[in-house]
Order: sequence, then C-alpha cells, then structure tokens
Amino acid sequence: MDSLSLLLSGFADALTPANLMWCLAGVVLGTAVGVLPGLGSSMAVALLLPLTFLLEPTAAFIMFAGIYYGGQFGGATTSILLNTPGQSSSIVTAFEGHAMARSGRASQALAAAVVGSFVGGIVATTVVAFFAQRMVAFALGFGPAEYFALAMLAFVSTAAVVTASPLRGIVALGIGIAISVVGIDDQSGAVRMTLGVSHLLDGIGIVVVTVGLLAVGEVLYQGFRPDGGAPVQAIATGTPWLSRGDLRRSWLPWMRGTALGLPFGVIPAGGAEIPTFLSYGVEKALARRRGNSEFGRGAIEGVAGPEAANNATTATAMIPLLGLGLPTSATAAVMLAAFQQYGMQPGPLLFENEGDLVWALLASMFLGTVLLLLINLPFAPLWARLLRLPRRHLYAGLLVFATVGVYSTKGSIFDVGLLYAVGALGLFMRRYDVPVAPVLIGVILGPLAEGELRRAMAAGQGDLTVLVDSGIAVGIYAILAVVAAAFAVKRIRERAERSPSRKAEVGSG
Amino acid sequence: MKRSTLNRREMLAGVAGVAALGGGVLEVRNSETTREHAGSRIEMVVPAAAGGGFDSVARQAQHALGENGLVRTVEVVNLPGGGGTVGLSHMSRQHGRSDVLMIMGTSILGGIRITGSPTTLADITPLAKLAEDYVVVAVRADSPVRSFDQLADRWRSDPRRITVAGGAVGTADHLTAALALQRLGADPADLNYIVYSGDGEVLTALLSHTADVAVSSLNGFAAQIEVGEVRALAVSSAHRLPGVDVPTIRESGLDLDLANWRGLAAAPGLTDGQRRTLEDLVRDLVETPEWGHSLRRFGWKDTFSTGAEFADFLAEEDRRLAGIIKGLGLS
Repeated sequence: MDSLSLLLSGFADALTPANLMWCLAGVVLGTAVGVLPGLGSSMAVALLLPLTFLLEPTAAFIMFAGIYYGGQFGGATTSILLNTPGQSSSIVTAFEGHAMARSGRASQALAAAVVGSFVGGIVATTVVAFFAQRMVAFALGFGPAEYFALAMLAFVSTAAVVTASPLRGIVALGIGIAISVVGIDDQSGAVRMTLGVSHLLDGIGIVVVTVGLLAVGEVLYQGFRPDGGAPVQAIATGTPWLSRGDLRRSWLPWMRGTALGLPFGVIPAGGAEIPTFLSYGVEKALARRRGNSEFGRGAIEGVAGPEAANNATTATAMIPLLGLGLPTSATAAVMLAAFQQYGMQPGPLLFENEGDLVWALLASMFLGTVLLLLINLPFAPLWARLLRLPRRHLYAGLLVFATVGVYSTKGSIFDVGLLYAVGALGLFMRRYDVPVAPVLIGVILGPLAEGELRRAMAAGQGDLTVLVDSGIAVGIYAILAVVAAAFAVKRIRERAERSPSRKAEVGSG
Repeated sequence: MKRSTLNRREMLAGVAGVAALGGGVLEVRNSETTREHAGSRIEMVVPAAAGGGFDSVARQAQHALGENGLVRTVEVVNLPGGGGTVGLSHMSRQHGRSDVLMIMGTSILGGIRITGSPTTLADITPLAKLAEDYVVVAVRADSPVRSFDQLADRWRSDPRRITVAGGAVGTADHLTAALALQRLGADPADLNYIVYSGDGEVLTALLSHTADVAVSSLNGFAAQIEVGEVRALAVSSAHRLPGVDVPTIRESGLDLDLANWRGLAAAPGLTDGQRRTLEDLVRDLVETPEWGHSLRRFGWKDTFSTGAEFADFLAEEDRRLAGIIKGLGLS
C-alpha cells in the first residue's frame, strides 16, 4: 500500500535516538506546563514553540508532538487530582475523575485517562495517515446550520438528559450562556452585559469560570461544611494500576469515545469539547441503563470515554490543518505558524510539495502517543500520592494554585476577583444541588451556537428553514429527538415505579 | 483513625508532588519576572483570531525578532472579536507598559468607527506602518460566475441573493464588499455579509457552500487559487500586482481601490524614551533578512513608515475611512 510505505519511510526519518530524546523532553515539558490551570496543551505548545525553532524540522515536529500530548495529559492530571481542568477539553474528566480520586482511586483514574488518550490518539492518527485526503470533503459538509444543530445536540444531551433534574440542568445551562455573552459581540461589535465595567469588555474567560466553579467552589463548599477539616478518605491499597475489572469496564468507553471524537476533529470549529461532553453523556446513559451506575461517585467510564474522545479529536484536527490549511483549534493555529516558519504552506498542495515532512510528522505523532503512555503510566500512582496530604493543606495549596494560574493567563487582578466571585456562585450551586457541568457547557458552546445561528440566518436571509435544509443537520436533530424521547420514556417509567422516594442523584463535582 | 497512619514517607511523597507542581508554576512565571526590561520579553497582542492576516504579521515579526536576538521571547496573544476592538480595549488598559505591542491596521480604524467603540486610537500609541496587502474577491471553481463583470451584473440586480463571507465588520474585506456594491449603484445596506474571524474560516465558508463569494486577503487564498479550487475574480489594488494574474476591481470600471495595511501600536502612557526604544526596535525588525523574506513570501508590499510621516498617514487614512463608512451608512 502506498500510504503505508510512505508512513514507514516517515518512521525511518523520525526514529533516531536524538529525536526520541527531543520527544521525551517535549513530553516532560508539556506535562509540566499542562498541569497549570489555564495553561492547557495549546498554551504549552505556544510557550515552547520558540524552543523548537532551534531544531531541524523533523526533530522540531517530534518535540512538538511530545509537548502537545504531554500538555493534554497534564490537563487531565489536575482535573482528576485537584478538580482543576487545565483546559476546556479536560473539564469533563474532572467530573468523574475527581470523584474517583476522592474515593481513593486516583491512580486508576489517571491510568484510565492516559490509556484512553493513547487509544484515541493512535486510532485517530491512523485515520489521519490513511484517510486525510478523503475526509477533507466531509469537513466541507459542515456549514452554520450543521454547527448549530451540533451545539443543540450537546446542550440537550448533556444539560437536560445527563443531570438528575432537567429543570436544574436547564437553569444551569442558562447561567452558562448568560456568562458567555458578556463582552464585545464578535459579529456586530456591540457591547453586551458588561454593566459598564471596562474589564468585562473582553468577556469572562473560560479559565476563570472553570477554575472558579470547580476548584474554588469545591474548596469553599468543603470549608463551609461542619466536617470541613476531615481527613482524606482511605486510599485504597492493592494494585495501583487498572485491575481486570477496571479494564473490562474501560475498554468499551475507550472505543466509543474514540469513535465519537474522530469526526469532530475534522470539522472546522468543532473543537474537542463537544465530543467529550457527548461521550460523558453516552457513558452515563449507558451506565444508568445497565442499572449499576457509579456516576457521581467516581465512574471509571466517565474518565475513559471523554479522554479517548478528546485525544481522537485533537489528532484528527490535523486533517483540516494539513489538507486545507485550516487551524481548527488554538493548538492547530500555532502548528500552522510552525509550518509556515519552515516555509511549508499547509493546504491542498502540502502532501505533494512537502510529502517527506508530512509523513515524518505523522510518524512522530505515533511516537509521541506511545512515549506518553510509557512515560506517564508509571507516574500515575506517584501523582496520586499527592492526595495523601491532609485535606486542609491540599485545599490551601489548591487555592494558591488556582489563583496563580488565573493571574498568569492575563496578569489581571480583576480576573482573580472574578474567580472568587464565580467560586462563591459554585458554593451556592453545590449547596442547592444545581449541577455545575451545564454552566460550563453553556459558557463554551453558547458562543458557538449563537454565532452559527446568526450566520445561518444571514445566509438564509432570515428564513428559518435553512436550519433543516441539509441531510447532516436533519440527521443530528433526529438523533437529538431519539435521545430526548428515550430519556422522557425512561423518566416516566421511573416515576411510576418509585414515585415517593426518588433518589436524588448527586450532581457532578 | 486513618489520619494517624499517614506516615512520614507518604507525607514526603505528597510534598514532592506539590513541589513538582510548584516547579511548573515557577517555570512559567520566570519568563514574566523580567517584564521591566524591554528587549527580553515582548507580548504581541493580535486583535484577531489565529491564522488570519493580523496573526501572520505577528508570527512573522515574532520569528524575525527572535531569530535576530532583538527580543528574547515574543509571546503572541490572540484577542479576536468586535472588529478588533476587543484587542484594542485590552491594549488601552496596559498603561505605561513598554513590553506590549499590538498589531493594527485598516480593520481597526474601520472597527472603531462602525462599532462606535468607546476606545479609539487616542487611547493607545500608534507606532509604525509595516506593510500593505490587498483584498481578493473570489468564488468557488464550480461557480457559474467567471468574471468580476458577471458577478457585478448578478449582484446589482439582486444584492441580497449573493451571500458574501469575509472578515469582521470594518475590515478591509467588509469595506471592499460594501464599497463595491455601492459603486455598482445598489444600496450597500443590502449587502448580505457574513462575518468570520480569519481567512481560514472565510475559505471554509466558501468551500462548504455557505457563502457564494469570499472577500479576503489574497495571500490566504493563494494555495487554493493555485490548484484551481477557488477562482479569483478581482483584487482591490489600484494597479495589477506583479506576479499575480488577476485583474483589479478598477479594470471593471469601479472607482475603488483599498489597501489593507498593517502596522504596530504600543501601550498608552509611554515616556518619550520608551516610545523611541520601541520605534527603534520596529526599525530593526523591518531591516532583518527574515522580515524581508516574510514580505516576499506573503506578497506584502513594504510600506514602512514611522514618526511624523506615519502620524500624517494615520490621520489621513482615518478621515478617508470615516468618509467611506459614513457614505456606506455603516457607522
């Protein structure tokens, strides 16, 4: 096969001891930057990009892949251990991952995340290597109407269906969307909901909301509880590594997460968030159907699926980047700049003009994924030990960590104040059982939904039927209808079965 | 009690873990502690999304400054939105900081006028003009429209039927589209214009059949034009560009040419000394071989000016664009 031999020659270029060293250095550096809240893998790549310019292209790309995957894993690590996602695509990991960590299964959560990343990364890179050219056509099937449909699907399936109380889920989603519209409107330049505060013109950062709600909110909530200073729960002894039972529960979510993530990287502006939310929703719904759901108390499925989806998406994001010259994420944009630095112009001609480099890049993506697994798996139990600190020390450290992280992204004291205001909101949401997850979904996907709806309306000159004018959009709405209907039937049945004693399911966080 | 079983060794492991995390923080903070010394670290604000024209200017400048040791670290910060006014308002709050630069140009002037932004160029320190490029009007290869004249006919008769994709409100893209429609004798208010952030998104909108016509920077479309996926109908330059086989809009008889210039601005409240240091830095930048290389590769015309010459240009350009925008009924 033609692609196969080209890929093998790519490996021949990439697999030298020196290159492996660069990859290793990249993974370590990337992980170090990735653990900071607000500094996810895209920031890690951007910060360390100047470093890679010192190298010749192949070595640079290999280090790049290392930094990138390291950053991804760093984000997942803090999500799980400290409930503080490093980037928006690892928010979902915090929901179940941190619950697992609190019940003493941190190293299993980390292992499920790193293996999930590995599975998603390898499968997706294979798809990129062999089907990149063909999948470009798929990317171009997505217009504003299709994006809007996707955002709706994510809203409904996560905000309304996944949470225990749909009403509270929708309220939380509304809060998120309200937060997301603050600032200067992208399309018209109008100033919205800033209350005359000039600091709010840039809007409220996703990092501030995420870290505030998840980390600061959690610390405040624990602090206000009568047993706030209680010791950490028992750290489970036994294998620090995935047990056979864990593997049995994880492998299907890995596969499903990968399958969900693959198409999302290809479509421009998709981002890695939607598939992680969807994967979480799917796993939670499936667990509930099986009747032995641990969701809310630390379900390994809720870590395995989204992490696989996240990495599958980020790897297939290379398809529009290489094939069209379109950066679909911040990281991809930085990579585009790197390509241009070496005089390559991603786009329809790239595979012909710069074939050698492209195949070396793909080979190094494989290497980066494998190295990440080898390096980080042994570290999972080590990281997990962090939780053995007395809880009050850990929380104090976490507050420092969250504050420094938010301050360092923009150097703004106002943002730090905002962080604690959002943290207070998180405290009250926990107190009154309003789920936090839909707020984050609203903040991240609200602008996408709004912008694409307005574009669709502009393109269709105000005619609402443009929203259902394509097969893809209709298909997405059909899935949405099925999900909603299945959920409604299930709830009605549940209510009939045990009407008085409805079990209140603990929300995320 | 579980708490008492927490032994020394485990405590140490935990402390080591926290130290490792802290190390990560320090590593990043280190690069920030040198903020006072301009020359060691510069933050370059791009008031647009990654991947667009402004972004390219910033990243090419980053490369040239870094390669020649003019600045040790250049950090590019993308703040898209609001026709560039989001980045502008951020910049206006960096009072007295001599380590921040912002990319500016035609689009910002337009963005300020159209959005009625409370922040204007008076709130920052415009430094220099770096280069110019031009806007291309393009359609998909499968479009029945083969020339700008054919597009003009269709556009004039039913402007709202033609969906045009381009950069933010007030950008050279937007102004070119609105001016063209006005010069064709139609009402520019009928322009059916969809805003995207960056050339990449505009290109996708065109290729995915969301838009019929794209108005965007010539460079962003060069690869697709070369392979024949996109057909360039006209460019916004006054005369034909060397090495570019595309007619100008003027050749179709429209009184319209618009350069998309890019420059640099600094923070407000700088001392004269700080300002001169930054001007010298920009002067050094445009003389680097890397920058010259970037100009050639991106097809940018070298139009460097600074000081009084630039101030005059800026005042004149602002007046001209304000007139255009008022004439179009956009402000």
